[in-house]
Amino acid sequence: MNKTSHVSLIIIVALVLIASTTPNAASAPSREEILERSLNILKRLQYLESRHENVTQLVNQVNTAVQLAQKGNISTAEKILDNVEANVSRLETGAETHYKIYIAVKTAEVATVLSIPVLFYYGFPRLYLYIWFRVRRRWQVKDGSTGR
Amino acid sequence: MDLLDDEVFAVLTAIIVVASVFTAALIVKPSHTEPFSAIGLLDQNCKIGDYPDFVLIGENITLCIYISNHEGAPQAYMVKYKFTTPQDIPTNTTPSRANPLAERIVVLDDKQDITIKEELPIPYNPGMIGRNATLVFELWKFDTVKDEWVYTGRWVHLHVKVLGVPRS
Repeated sequence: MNKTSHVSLIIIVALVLIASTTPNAASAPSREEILERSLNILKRLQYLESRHENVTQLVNQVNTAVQLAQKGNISTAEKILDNVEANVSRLETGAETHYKIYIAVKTAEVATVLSIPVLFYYGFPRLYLYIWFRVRRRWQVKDGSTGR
Repeated sequence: MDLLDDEVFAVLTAIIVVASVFTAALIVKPSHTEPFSAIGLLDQNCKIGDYPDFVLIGENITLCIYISNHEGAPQAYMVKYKFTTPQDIPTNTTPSRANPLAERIVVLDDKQDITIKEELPIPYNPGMIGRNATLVFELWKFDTVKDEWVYTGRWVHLHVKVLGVPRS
């Protein structure tokens, strides 16, 4: 090997060493990346809210992460967002089923309420008659023509 | 023999029908008919009333900002703090032209509110000494459809007199 080859080899080794140490620094997200990630989670939370899922706790956690990111505490913010994303993914899998159940329950409620007038129309006269006769069941018919 | 008077029965049926339809409407109506966001300015103790009349250039001022979400969904809000002239306050369609000196983002669920205490910088501009200035706080909201921050048309402002820092 000549001198030029040695220099080239040293440069390559140095570059490899630099490249092997920089991924950790490069993978650490910036404040902007955390905020962007929070906004992406927000979209998913809005979808879950539209499916009548309770997301208040998750929204509070996202807010905590955003506050920490704005104060420069990126690592804690990232951990919180990891946890929130896991919970959001879990909720998303059952969201459509829960929404269908919610719609079915609401429909049943409305059907029950709207059936009350029909039940009243057909049932109330019969109930009234039943009560009327029951209240008077011990009554006796007397002949008033004898004058007694 | 007609034991139940027809007119009484008709009136009772009418009442039941109206009550039933009204109740059904309450069940199916959306919970938010008029979504809105709100911003409020509070003093350094996070109460209404004791607002500063003057600010010192180059110093910080402490104020509280109240934000409330009634949009029917979780929202991300950004409060932009601007230091400008009384002629440059925002409108309900356009924000102030001044550059923001500080921004704070919060994420709120529906029907949630928050009060944040902020240390706000007063820019060092000796030319402003003795003049009137306005502290403007604009409420921006993240539009998840457009993927950008949009001005909500809500803002609060505080008119103050700018004073110099007394030299010892």
